[in-house]
Amino acid sequence: MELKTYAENTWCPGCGNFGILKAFEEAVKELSSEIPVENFVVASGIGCHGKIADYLNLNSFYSIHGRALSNLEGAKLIKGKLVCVGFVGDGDIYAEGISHLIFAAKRNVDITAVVHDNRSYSLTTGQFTPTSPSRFKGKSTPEGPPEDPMNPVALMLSAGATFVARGFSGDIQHLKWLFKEAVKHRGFSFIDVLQPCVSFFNTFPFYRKHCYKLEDEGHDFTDFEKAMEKAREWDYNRDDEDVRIPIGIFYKVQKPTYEERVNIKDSE
Amino acid sequence: MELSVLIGGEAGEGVKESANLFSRVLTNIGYSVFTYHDYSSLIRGGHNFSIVRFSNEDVFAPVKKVDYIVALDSKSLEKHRENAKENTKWIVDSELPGNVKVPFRKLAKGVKRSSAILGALLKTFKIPYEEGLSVLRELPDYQENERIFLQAYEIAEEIEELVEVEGIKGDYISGSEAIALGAVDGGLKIYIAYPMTPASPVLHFLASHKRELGIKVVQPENEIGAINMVLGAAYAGGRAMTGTSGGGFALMTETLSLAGMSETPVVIYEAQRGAPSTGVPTYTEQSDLLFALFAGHGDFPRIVLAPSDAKESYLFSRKAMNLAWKFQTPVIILSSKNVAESFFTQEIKREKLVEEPKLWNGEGEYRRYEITDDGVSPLAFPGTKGAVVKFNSYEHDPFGITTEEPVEINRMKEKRERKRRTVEEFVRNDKESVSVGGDLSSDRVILTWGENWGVCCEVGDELGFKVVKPNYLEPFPSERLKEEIGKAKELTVVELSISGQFEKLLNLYGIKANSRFRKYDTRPIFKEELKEFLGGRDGA
Ligand code: SF4
Repeated sequence: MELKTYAENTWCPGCGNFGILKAFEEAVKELSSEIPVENFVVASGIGCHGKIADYLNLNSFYSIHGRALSNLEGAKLIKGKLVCVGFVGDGDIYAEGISHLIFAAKRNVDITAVVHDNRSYSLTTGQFTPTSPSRFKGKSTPEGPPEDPMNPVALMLSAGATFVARGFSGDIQHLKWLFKEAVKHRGFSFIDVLQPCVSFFNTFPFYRKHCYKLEDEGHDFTDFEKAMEKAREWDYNRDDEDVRIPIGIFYKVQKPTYEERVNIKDSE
Repeated sequence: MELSVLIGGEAGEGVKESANLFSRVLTNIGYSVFTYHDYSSLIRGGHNFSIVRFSNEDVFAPVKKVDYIVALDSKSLEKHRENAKENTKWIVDSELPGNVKVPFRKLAKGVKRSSAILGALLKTFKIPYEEGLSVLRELPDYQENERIFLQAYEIAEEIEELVEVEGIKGDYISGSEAIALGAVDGGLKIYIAYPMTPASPVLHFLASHKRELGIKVVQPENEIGAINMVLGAAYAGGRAMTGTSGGGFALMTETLSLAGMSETPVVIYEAQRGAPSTGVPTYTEQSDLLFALFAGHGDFPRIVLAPSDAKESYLFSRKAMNLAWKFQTPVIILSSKNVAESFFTQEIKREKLVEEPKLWNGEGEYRRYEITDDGVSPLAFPGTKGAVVKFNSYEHDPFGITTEEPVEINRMKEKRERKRRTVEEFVRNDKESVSVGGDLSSDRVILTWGENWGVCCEVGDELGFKVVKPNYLEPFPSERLKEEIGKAKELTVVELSISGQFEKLLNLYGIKANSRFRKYDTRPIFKEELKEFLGGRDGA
C-alpha cells in the first residue's frame, strides 16, 4: 500500500513531524485489514504540522487554523463509517481552536485528535504557543512569554475526553501503538504528541532523557483520579533534572458517542 | 374587505400566540393574513404587540393604523393610541377603559391568555366558535384552553360581520418555517446552527420536526464551529446548512473563504436584524447587504438570494441547496426579521427537488480540482473505493496538493473564475432572477429588495407604480433589471438602510435613481408611510 504522495516534503531535516508521519503510515497499514483505506479521513490545521495532509495519500481536508476538528465532526455526523483523524498543532488547536477542542471532547465525538505539540509557532518563524515554557525565547517574546504554559492533558481530562494520551515523536513504535489504540477507540481520542522542532525549539534531548512509559509502571487508565495525578506529574513549564514525563495512555473509558446520541439513524 | 387587529400586552402573556391562533382561524376560513410580531429582547414583562391584517384579497405588509386594538394592560392603551383611527374599537381587560371589556387577566394566566383573546376576537367577528376549537386542539392542555376560550367567547360582543370567502388561500406560515421546509426539500441532511435572533426560529422548527423530516439538527459551541461542521458534512457528501444573523455571519467569514477556496458547498441563512454589532436584536434592517456581498477574503464565486415572503423563502431555500451543490460554492440566503418572523397566508406546494451535482464517473485517478471548461470539477466523497478525495484551503493543484507555482496558481484561479462566469450565465438565464409587480404599465418605477416587496407592490398597485426587485443580489441581474426599468421617467429606491446600501449596489451597475425612501428605525415599512411618501410625489 502506497501512502506517500508526490508532494515534496518540506519539513526541516530532523523535524519531529517525520516521526508522526511514519508512525501514522504504519498504523494505517496495520489497521487496513480491519479498516478499508478509503474510509480514512484526515484533516489538518495551519502550521508545519498541516502539511501532513499533502504527504498522505488518503482522503484529506487541509483546513484552516484551529478548525480541522470541526470539519471532522461534521463529516462524522454525515457518514458514520469514516475514520476521522485530525492532525492539529499546539498553536492551532490550543489557541485559535481551543473551544472546538474542548467541545469535541465534551461531546465525545468519535474522532481522533493528534496534536503536533512542538511548543512553538514554527511556520511563522518562532513565536510562543500555549504550551511554550517560560524559558522559550520567541520572536514576539524575546524574554520568554509572560504567562505559564497550559497542561493540555489535564485540560482534556477535565473536558471529558474518553481517551487521553501523550506520545513522543522520537519513539515511533510507541506512537504507532498509541495511534492504533486511539483510532480503534470509540469516542473522542486525544494524543498530545511531543514533537520537537529542530529549528526553533529542539527538545529532543530533553524528552529522550525524561520520558517514561505509563504502561511500564502499570498505570490503571480506567481510574480518572490516577489519570489526573499522572497528567499533573509533569508541569509543561518544568525543565529541571528531576522531571519525569509520562507518555502512553492516561485515561480510557467507554461512553456513548456524540453521533450515537445525535443520530436518528445514520445516513448509511 | 380588509381589517386589522392589534394585540398588545406584556411578554409572556400570550400576545404572539393569540395573534397566531386568530390568524390560523382566519386562514382556515379563507382569508389572506399578514401577521407582524413586534417584541423586544426580553423574556418577561416589557411590551409586545402583534398586528394581524387580513382581507379577502392578498395582503403582504403591515399597517400602522388598525381597526381593532386588544389591550391587556394600561401600557398598551398608552402606546397604541398612535395605532388607532377615529373609529377604532378597543377590546380591553376589564380594569381598563374601552369599548368592550373582557376579564382577560382573570380568565387565564400567562400564555393561556391567548385562548381568551382568541375567544373574544372570534365573537367580535361573529366567527363560529367551532373554528376556534379546531386550532386550539393543537395546543397542549386542550381542555383548559377550551374552557378559557369558551368563557371569553361568551363574554365578548358581536361587532362586525365578515364577508364570506370561498376556498382557502394557502397555509399560515412564517418565513422561518418556509426556509426550513425549503432546505429539507432541497435535500438537507443536517442543520447546524448557533442560536441568534432572528435566525433561531429555523433551528427551533427543524429541531422539533427533525424526526418526521428525517434530518439531524445540531447546536455547536459557536458560529465558527457551526459553519466548519457544515463544510465537513458537505465534504463527506451530506447537504448541510447553517443559519445566523449579521454578528454570527461576521464570525463565519473566515470559513466562507475556506469554502470558496476548497470549493465546498455551503448554504448560509442570514436573517438580518438591526445592526451594527448587537444592534437592535429583535427588529429588522437591510444593512448587511454589502457585507454579505463582499464578506470573506480573496476572489471566489458566491450566490446571494433574497426572499421577500414565505413562499419565496421556501423556493429560494430549496434553490440555494441545489445551487450550492451545482456550483460547489457558498450560497447565502439573505433574509431579514420581518420576513423571518412574520406570518403569511401563502400556498406553498411542497415538492422534493434534489438535483444531482456533477459527480465523478469513477474512471482513472480522482482529481478533486480537475480543470474543466465550466470551472466545476466532478465531486467524489470519502468512503469511495478508488478515490482519494483531497480538499484544500491552500492553493492547490488539480489533485488537491498544495502548490505555490505561479503557473498552477493561475490555472486554478482561472478555473474558479470560469466557475464564476458559469454562475453568472446561470443567473442570466434564470427567469426568476427578477420579480416585477405593482402597476406593470407605469413608467414610474420602484426598485427594492427583500422584505419591502409586499408593501411596495400594494402601494404600487394603488398609486400606479411598477415595482422591480432583484431576487439575486449576486450575481447581480443588472441586465434584466435595466430591461424592466426600461425608459422609466421616475426611479425610486426603497430600502431599510441609512446609507443606502442597495442604491450603492445599483449605482455600481449604472442604475441611477432620482428619489429614495430609506427607513432605519429598524421597524418594517408600514403601508401608510410608503403611501404618504409616494403619494406626495408629482402625478400621484
Ligand atoms: S520549523 Fe520546526 S516544526 Fe517546522 S518543519 Fe522545521 S523543524 Fe519541523
